[in-house]
Amino acid sequence: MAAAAWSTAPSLREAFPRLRQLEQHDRGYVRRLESRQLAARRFADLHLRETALDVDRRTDDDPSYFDWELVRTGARQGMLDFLLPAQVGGGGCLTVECAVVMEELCAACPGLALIFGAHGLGISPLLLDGPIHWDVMGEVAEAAQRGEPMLMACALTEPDAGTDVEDVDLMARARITSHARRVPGGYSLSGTKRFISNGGVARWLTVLMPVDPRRPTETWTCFLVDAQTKGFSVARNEHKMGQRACPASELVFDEVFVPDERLVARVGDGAGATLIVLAASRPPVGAIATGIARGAYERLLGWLRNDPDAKGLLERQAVQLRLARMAEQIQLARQAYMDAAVHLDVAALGNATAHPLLRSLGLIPNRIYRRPRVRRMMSSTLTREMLPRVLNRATDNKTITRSLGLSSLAKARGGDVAMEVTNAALEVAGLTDAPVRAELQKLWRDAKLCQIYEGTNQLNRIEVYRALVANETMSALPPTKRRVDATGVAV
Amino acid sequence: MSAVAVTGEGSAERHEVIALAHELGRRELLPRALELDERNPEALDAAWRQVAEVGFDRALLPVADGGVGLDAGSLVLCLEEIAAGEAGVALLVLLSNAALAALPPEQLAATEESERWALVQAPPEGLATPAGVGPSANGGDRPALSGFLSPALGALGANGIVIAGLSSGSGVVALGATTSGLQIEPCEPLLGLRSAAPARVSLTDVAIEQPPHGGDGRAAGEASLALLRAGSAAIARGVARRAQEMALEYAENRIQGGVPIIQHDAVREMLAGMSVRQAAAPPSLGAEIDGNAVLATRLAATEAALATATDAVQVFGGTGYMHETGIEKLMRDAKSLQLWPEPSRIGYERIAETLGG
Repeated sequence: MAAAAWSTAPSLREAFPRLRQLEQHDRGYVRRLESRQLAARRFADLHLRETALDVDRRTDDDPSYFDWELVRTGARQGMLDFLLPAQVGGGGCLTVECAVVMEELCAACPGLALIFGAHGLGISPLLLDGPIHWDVMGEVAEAAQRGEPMLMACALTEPDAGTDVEDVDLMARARITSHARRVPGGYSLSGTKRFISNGGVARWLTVLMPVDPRRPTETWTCFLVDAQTKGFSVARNEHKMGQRACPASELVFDEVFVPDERLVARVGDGAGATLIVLAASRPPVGAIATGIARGAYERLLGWLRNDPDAKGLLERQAVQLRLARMAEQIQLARQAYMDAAVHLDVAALGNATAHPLLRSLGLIPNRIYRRPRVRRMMSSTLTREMLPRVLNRATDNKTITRSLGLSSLAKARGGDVAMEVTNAALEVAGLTDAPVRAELQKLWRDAKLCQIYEGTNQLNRIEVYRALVANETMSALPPTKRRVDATGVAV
Repeated sequence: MSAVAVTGEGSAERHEVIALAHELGRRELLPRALELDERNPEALDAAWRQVAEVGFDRALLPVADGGVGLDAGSLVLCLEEIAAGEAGVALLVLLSNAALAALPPEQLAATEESERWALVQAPPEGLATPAGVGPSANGGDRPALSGFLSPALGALGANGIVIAGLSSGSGVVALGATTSGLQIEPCEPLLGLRSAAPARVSLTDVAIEQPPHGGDGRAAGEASLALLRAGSAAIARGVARRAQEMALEYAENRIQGGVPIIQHDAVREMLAGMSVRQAAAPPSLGAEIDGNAVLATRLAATEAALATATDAVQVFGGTGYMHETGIEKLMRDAKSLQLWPEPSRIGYERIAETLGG
């Protein structure tokens, strides 16, 4: 029997032939992944595809426009809680699921998809912190399930430090102007963060700042900030070239108080944690890029097949060759992000996420974690010292560095593929009067961001060199013991 | 600025005209580039007034016809300078000059100073339903036009349009904006070149007041298309130059890793690539504009412009993705130039057709 033709929106088994082998070992995993993919595809087809151009135009006129109704719909369909730990009522999903979902959403609308992706990025530093912030994560999960979303965001970039804060070596010489000053009972955050996706609409933000600006790398620290805290404000929303539906905001921190219990990990653990977060966020960016390329390919093919204005084009070999090249690039970009995601979830973090301690803590009802006494206990030095030990036993820097290399490769390649495919799609469609032109033009604008965010492609390729070519080992895991002085500064 | 006062092919005169175009681009258009990109009507009016003041609105017309008698090759060189200020306005200059130059003498005489016209090229293949010429549906003797053309760049807000390259072979047809049966409506904007806003031109049994140009209509269409291609190449070079300048300036001033980013190999390579591409794209076509040479020039120049502008955004990083910096506009302009007056894909096909086999 002849095999069926390739679908532009392939099933998981079509897209990743290796899953057939994996299925022989864990049938349930592939089935769960498949159901996640189908749910995302359904949501994208029903709610994102049709509104994409309209939201893009509205945000072009007013960068502050935000489609809360769509986010509420997404929340009810599991798009905001699937990355939260199962222990707090979330989906317990990791990088693989996130990437698969992002490809589906981005094939429909990368801008709207980014709202859900940026929310996941906001969550990711907390996932490295065991049960310490399960109370907040539980609230976020419940809010999503009620359809009253509490969005999250991650605030890393500063006006004078973009690439610098995504690379440990560059960070030492970075022009970082933010500062988390030690004050009684917590920290006082001051400074400006820029280009923060979801920054202006998030309720909770994971914010990275140095506790000692003279030693940013050693004291780079993550804080969980409630956007309703005094001193926090949104200065403006940027007018972006593409992916406009998700606002990129400039955030001002003017002596924002963060209590000790909202410290994420320990003072000084931020630089290593950033590497792990990037290893986790770059495969989904590769998937975003793959989704954009696929979206352009799908739309172009639909136009070529169905629009009378395109009559005869599909019969031309020159056009067929372009389509074949697009299919080739999309499939290879997809393999790259899946390689990276599987490596991170299974090889690098598999033992940590399956750790018996975390599993057993998950048996305690989430409301218990919201009790002040339990919260204090969770954020105690004892707990904060225990988690690095768990992480160091469960994985190692060599494996995480490899994950970072594969992730950077997937991100850089994916970003280039998104640009190349959308460029080629526009070349074929030309200046047609058909609606497909507006859709392709939007995807082309959306694609460019994939070469920039989560570290420019240039920075990512330097990390590919370091991790995969030079075989370096980077220090990502927190040291088992970190000494701090009386002001909370790492020494 | 003084008005264009010199014409001809002598190098000194050419230089003077090009210097004037440079000044127009830098002093008058560049400061308005973002407003023009946002299709601000006041900004567009002000820009066109400046264009008209120095005579670039009718640069190709003979002095006797109220023009400045510039040859096509010189105009193309000027377009590059104007485009380094704002590409959409450079395109309007090209379209208006091409249209006015194609107007029959009686119609040209009826135009007023600083009027803006647009040449609309019928598409080379059936991607949009081309307007056709046939007998009037009202039973009149004169031929009539029906159908639509889209997207017609620069047609929106123009005083009139000249349609060239009609497949019927009737050549070039000029229509005032108020011609009965002619409708010019906004259509989906292009990625860039937004000050030359595109329109959907609908023709409903439009009686042709003036007979089409005599002679070979196809040849007239090819000649006007060649001029548009040459202009597209020149505008692309202007866009690339501006993108390179901006990237270089930013790279010298933006500090990352404790040093200006121009000291990072990743950035230096991109900047060097821009120089290489600029050197490889031929700047001048001379006064003769026709044939495959201009097509190849357009392909090379627009590809170079897109690569340079894309890298320029990359040099800027996240800042470059934001509208206010003006660099992402250049990337959009460059991509639009790759698609207009026809997509590069068609350019390659045309060249391939001439290679035999």
